[in-house]
Amino acid sequence: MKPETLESLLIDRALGELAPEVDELLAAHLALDPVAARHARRLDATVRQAREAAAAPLTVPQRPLAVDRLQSELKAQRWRVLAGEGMRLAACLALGLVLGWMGHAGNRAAPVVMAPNSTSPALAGIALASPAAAAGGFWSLARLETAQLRRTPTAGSAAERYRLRWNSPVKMPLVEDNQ
Amino acid sequence: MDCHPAVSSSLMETHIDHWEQLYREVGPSLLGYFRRQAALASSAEDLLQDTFLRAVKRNNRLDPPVSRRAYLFGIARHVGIDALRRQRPPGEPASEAAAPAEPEDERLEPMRLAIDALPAGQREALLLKLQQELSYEEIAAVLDIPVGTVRSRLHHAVRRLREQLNPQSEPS
Repeated sequence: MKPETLESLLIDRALGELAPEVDELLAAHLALDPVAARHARRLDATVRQAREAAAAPLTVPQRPLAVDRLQSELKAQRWRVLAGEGMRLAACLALGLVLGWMGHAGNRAAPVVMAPNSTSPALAGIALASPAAAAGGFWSLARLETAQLRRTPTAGSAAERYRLRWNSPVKMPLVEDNQ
Repeated sequence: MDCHPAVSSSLMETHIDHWEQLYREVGPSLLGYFRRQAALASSAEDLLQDTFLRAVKRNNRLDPPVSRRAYLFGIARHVGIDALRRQRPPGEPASEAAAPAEPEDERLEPMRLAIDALPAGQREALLLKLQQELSYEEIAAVLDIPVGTVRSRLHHAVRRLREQLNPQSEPS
């Protein structure tokens, strides 16, 4: 064993920081090495003397713990936490309000206005009766008009001009002209 | 122990009881720690109260990684440093020598002088070890340094004391 390593182990032992199993191994080594054992005794004596020199009798505090200061501090902490939670909640609400206002302002800035279709007098009537319906949005005139156009096929559509005739499921269907 | 501040009053009482118990357990050691420092000896009781108040302020740390004792000593160390800064005019060097609290033993005087002559870091670690019986890990937590540094400082300190007090007995 290197002298430096041995001395480190001896100092750890003198300071009471050596693991029990290492302590046993070291004791076995010291039993076989009288020079190292003498050095260990010197280190032990040095640490013991230093402990005596540094030690002083423990004195019990004359004053009890200032409980009132601790209680006021704990209460202050509780209020600080509650205030922090309130601030977070207020910040969330404010953020929501700002985002909602911004979205509303954006819709108002670019309204979609559809002119009434001259071919749909009923829709034109709706538009005249309710100007708000002409604006964009879910109940907008554009949606109503699109739905109307889907339901009413135009005169020239393929569904009116042709008819599908299927005589047998094993044969190809025939397309007949209505006109 | 959970120390969340948003506690009910009954739970707060429990916390106070817990702090009082800690005060009874660690208070004498902390008081001795302050009294052994010459510049802090006169205000040791006040500093002890400040230590516990600061510990309560730093809530949620009643379950420290090493030990509550080491945690409180770490706070006491900072309280002491702050007190020394307040006492000392700016620019004046610190005097951290230990104050003998009892009649001196002539036999131990050379050892006291040798300990006082150690570098501050080594002396602080050595006194925490010898006076408070803190482990390497606890001293590392108090001083906020790695455990290896604590071990190194203590080894240097012990070697230095041995060489100063027994210069003829070098290791073979």
